[in-house]
Amino acid sequence: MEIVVSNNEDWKECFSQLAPGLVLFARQWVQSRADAEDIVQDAFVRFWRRQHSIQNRTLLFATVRSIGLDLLRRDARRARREAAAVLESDQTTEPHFSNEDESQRALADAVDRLPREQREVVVMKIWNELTFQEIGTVLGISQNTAASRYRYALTSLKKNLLPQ
Amino acid sequence: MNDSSDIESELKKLRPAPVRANLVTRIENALLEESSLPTAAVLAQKRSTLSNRQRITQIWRQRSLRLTSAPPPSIPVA
Repeated sequence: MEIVVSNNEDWKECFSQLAPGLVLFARQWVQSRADAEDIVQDAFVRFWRRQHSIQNRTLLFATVRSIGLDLLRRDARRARREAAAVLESDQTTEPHFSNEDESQRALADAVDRLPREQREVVVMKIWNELTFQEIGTVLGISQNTAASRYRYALTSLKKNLLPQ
Repeated sequence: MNDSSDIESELKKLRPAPVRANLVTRIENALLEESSLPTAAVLAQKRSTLSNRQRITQIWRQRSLRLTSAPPPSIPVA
């Protein structure tokens, strides 16, 4: 994904391209879309104050992740309540993806059930098109570790979903 | 082609849900609020308009004035 920002006005267009993937990334720490959008808003304002360019995507993703994790730590009780509410409502939260049919919904649910360290790599790689090097920078891990987490995730998804 | 390419292409078919239209407006407002805040609590000192050369000349002039106005050294009488 090549994103070039030439002036301050272009941020809206670039943000519009990145926003769905960023919100999906943020939803790993919160259940509701509204909360995920709040995280993205805070992260983007904080990021833009420092950068004035979307070219450094790793910093933007690292900021979203940092705010998401802070929220989770600060408000663990709220997170537990949210998780309980999700279970009670039989997973009827707002969908993470649009145009989901039966098999796509099963795939999306399987992604949700991945361990967080694998899921965040998959979300950054598939729906945000970050390279393993960029993912490694965001997570503070090596490029090889990022790649192996991705491989484990795909193997696990395949084992759970596709006919043997 | 690796073993997981089929699952990878299935994943790529999923499209993240679109964000609500007001998110961009909210960010814009937050950025505008940000820019209207006072920028710094420390006021910058007024910079001297003299060049380095002029500043050095000025220092030497002051020193030489101090030397000429100083009393002559007292010579001890044997």
